[in-house]
Amino acid sequence: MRKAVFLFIILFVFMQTAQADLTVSGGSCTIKELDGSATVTLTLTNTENKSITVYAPSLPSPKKGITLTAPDNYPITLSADESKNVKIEVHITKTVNMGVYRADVYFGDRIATITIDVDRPTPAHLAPLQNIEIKDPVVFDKPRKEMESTGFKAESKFQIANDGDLAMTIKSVAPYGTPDAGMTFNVNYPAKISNQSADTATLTITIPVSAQEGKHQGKLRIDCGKAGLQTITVSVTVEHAVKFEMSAYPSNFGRVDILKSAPLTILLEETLGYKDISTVKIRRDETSMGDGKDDWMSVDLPASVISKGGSVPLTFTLRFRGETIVGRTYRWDYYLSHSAGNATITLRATATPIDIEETKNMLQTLEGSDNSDISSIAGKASGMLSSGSAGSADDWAALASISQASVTFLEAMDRALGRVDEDDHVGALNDLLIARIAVDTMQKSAKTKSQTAICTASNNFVGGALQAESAHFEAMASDANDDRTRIIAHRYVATTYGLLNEPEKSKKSRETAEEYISAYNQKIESANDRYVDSEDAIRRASDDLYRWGDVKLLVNPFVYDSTSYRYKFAINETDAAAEEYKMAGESDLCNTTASRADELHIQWLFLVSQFLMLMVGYILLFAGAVIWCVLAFMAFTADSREEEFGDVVLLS
Amino acid sequence: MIFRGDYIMVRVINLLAAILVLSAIVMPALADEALKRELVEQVCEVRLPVLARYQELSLMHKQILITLQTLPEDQITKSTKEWTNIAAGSDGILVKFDKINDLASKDDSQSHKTAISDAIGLKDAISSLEGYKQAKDNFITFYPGIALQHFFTDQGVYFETLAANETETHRAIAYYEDALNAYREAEDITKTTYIDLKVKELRSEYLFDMEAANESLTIGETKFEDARYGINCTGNPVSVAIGILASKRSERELTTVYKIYTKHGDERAPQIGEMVAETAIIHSKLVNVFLKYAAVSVALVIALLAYMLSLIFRWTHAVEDTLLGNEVIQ
Repeated sequence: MRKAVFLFIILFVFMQTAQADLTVSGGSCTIKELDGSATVTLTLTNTENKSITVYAPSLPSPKKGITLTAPDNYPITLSADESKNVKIEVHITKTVNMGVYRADVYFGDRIATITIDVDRPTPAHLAPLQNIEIKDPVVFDKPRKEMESTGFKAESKFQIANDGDLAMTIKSVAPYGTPDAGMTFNVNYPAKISNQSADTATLTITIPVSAQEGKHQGKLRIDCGKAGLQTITVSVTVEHAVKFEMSAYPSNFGRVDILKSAPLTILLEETLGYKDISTVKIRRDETSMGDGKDDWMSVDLPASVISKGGSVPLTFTLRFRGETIVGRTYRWDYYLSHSAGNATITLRATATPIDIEETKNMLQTLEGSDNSDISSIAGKASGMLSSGSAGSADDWAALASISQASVTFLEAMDRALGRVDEDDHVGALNDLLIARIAVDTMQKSAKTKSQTAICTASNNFVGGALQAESAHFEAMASDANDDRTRIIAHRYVATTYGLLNEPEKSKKSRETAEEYISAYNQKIESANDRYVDSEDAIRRASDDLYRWGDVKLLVNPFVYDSTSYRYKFAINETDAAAEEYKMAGESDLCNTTASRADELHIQWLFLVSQFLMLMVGYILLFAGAVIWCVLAFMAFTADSREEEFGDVVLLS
Repeated sequence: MIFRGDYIMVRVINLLAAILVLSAIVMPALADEALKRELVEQVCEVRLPVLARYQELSLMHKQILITLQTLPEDQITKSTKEWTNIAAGSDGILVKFDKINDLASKDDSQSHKTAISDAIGLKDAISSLEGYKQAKDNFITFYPGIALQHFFTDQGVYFETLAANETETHRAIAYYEDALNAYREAEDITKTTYIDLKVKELRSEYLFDMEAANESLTIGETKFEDARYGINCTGNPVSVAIGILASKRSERELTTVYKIYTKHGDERAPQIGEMVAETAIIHSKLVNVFLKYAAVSVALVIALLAYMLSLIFRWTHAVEDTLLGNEVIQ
């Protein structure tokens, strides 16, 4: 570079020296042709007294389309004071507008000016147009569905120039060929452009939502008829935006029963519909203070890519495990990352005891009970459970224990009272037993004032019922005339005293019951044996009786003694059994047995009476036979005597 | 120096004590937490049909669950695990009760009998549960006893119904005995009394009838053989006559046996019925044979009688002729 500058300076100095005394005249020409030429003659004069050498001039074009040429042979040597004409040919093309142009001709440092008069108009001409490139990318940042009908639009203004000397009419500006990606071009352009001027056209590009990300091109043809036709390239760049959204979700699971699964689904969505969200990942945020255990919360993210316009469900399933402290609120923080950004999900849940909801529902049902005590206690327990969100885990444990025990207690009391109404005191006592245990459970757990109030009300309620039952069974025991009633009464008295926390009385009653059980068993054993023996005796007696159809008759006098003995034995045993049943307290058996004794007695009376009648018949028959025999013998004797007498008479 | 040495010693002791305390607190806490999880979840997993069948067991299950959930972790001990396993473990009272209930749900008396004997065996488990204070204090021991009582009552009703519908007396007696056993276990004194009486009554009647049936059967079979002998020796009219009498007696005795067997649903009744029918056939055959003998005998007797009468008639005429001759002579 330095060398070139140095050489230029040397040459410049040399030329200055060489043409120091040269004069050049100016010239002019007029061209009327559209594409024409003219020759201008310039005179070179050497004013020096020595010859000089003139080199070929430098002929810069004054305007595009005007070219100057020097047809002479150079170098020309001019001797001292010599003048020479040289020719400069001027040529214009049809693009050169009408007007006067000045062209400088350089002979070394001497300048000659040629005035070129272009004396004709040029036709309208569409000046060359630049390709359009929209630099700012078109960002698809509105939902695809919303933009489906309209597409995205980009606008660009460009100049259409007429460098002719006549007005230019624009015939059309329209897409040429098929633009990429289904783009459409719409151009708002001027109809006419006056000479030597330009006007603005507005190009609106409509890009459909289906266009891929990247650079898209299309061609635009500007047709100005004879003034020219040009096709330019329109380039536009499309960029797809993504929008990540999470569906609304409650950050708090609320109260969750231990060991019950509570699912929570959050929908992860890409809402624009142009581009997938990739590398979706979720992990526990270990930096946070979340105290919920990992294995209590399962996280299910079925895909790591959310397809454009699609969604992926993110499911959290909470299941408090057995070691969970009831009543405590636990927290989990999750860090969700993806190609479109990050998010943090915080979840909370309070552990409640197993089946607490069921307990709540049951308490609400019991609130509607007709019994005012049951309704009142159920109301209190239900209220306590509903408002029991605050407090420590221990408080919650107490609350859960009391509410569950309340349900057991109230249901048992409801049944017990129903049974008392039906006079089923034994059944009622079984339920009171359950109720008592439930109250004791409540009392062990009661901590707050409201819990103590529930326990007190429940205790009074069951206490009253137990006192009533105790009195009933005491009266039953004292009025009892038989072992069974005494046993039952004393057993239940023992139970009621036990439930009323009077162990001494309970023990005494139980011992008394045991004594009566022993006596009862003896009587029953004996009575049953007697009854069976009596029936056996009757069967054996029946075996000796004569059956006449369904009627049994004692016809054989030889079995009278055994039958009599058996019947009398059976009647006595049955009577004794009935008496023992009565003493034992089995009234039904006593009645049945007594009836059987009466029946046997009647049977025996019937047998005896029919036997006596039969015996009388036997005697009468026997006596008749004897009399008949005697009479017959007497008649025979009389006949014999008469025969003998006849024989004697006859013989005599 | 001595003072400084003591100071360091105190620091070391303090540090060791702190480590011991921490390890005593932290280690068992972790262990208890795991144990609590195991026990609570184990009990929660118990979902047996028997819980719906016996309310007491459902209450027991709930009581165990609430007890375990609300017990502080430091109170979840090895003993807790022991009583939980006895009550609700894989071979615990609830599971055993379920198996018993399952057996008792089958329509098969043997299963019910097995269920009763298993239920009696369950009393030992209940007794062992009562040995745990934690279980007793939380009223867990109370429920299985009541459930067992109800179970025995149910089995008593089952066997009583089965016995009432049974036509075979000795089976009915066995069922009543099972019902008696069940009611006795249920401590239902009245039912025990009734069923005891029923068993004794039925057995007495059955034995009496069977005694009579056996006697009749012995005679009936002997006479049946005599009747058969008669049919096999038809050439001998005496045997035929004896056969007729034997068949008649056999029919009567076997009919008695048949009636008794039918009354008690004895499976031998059809066999005896066939013998009765066969006896009737033998009797009718023997009677036919006998009638033939009788016809021949009657014919012979008539012929002999006619001959004898003709002789007497001739002798009478001879006597008359003799007397007339005497008179004429005189």
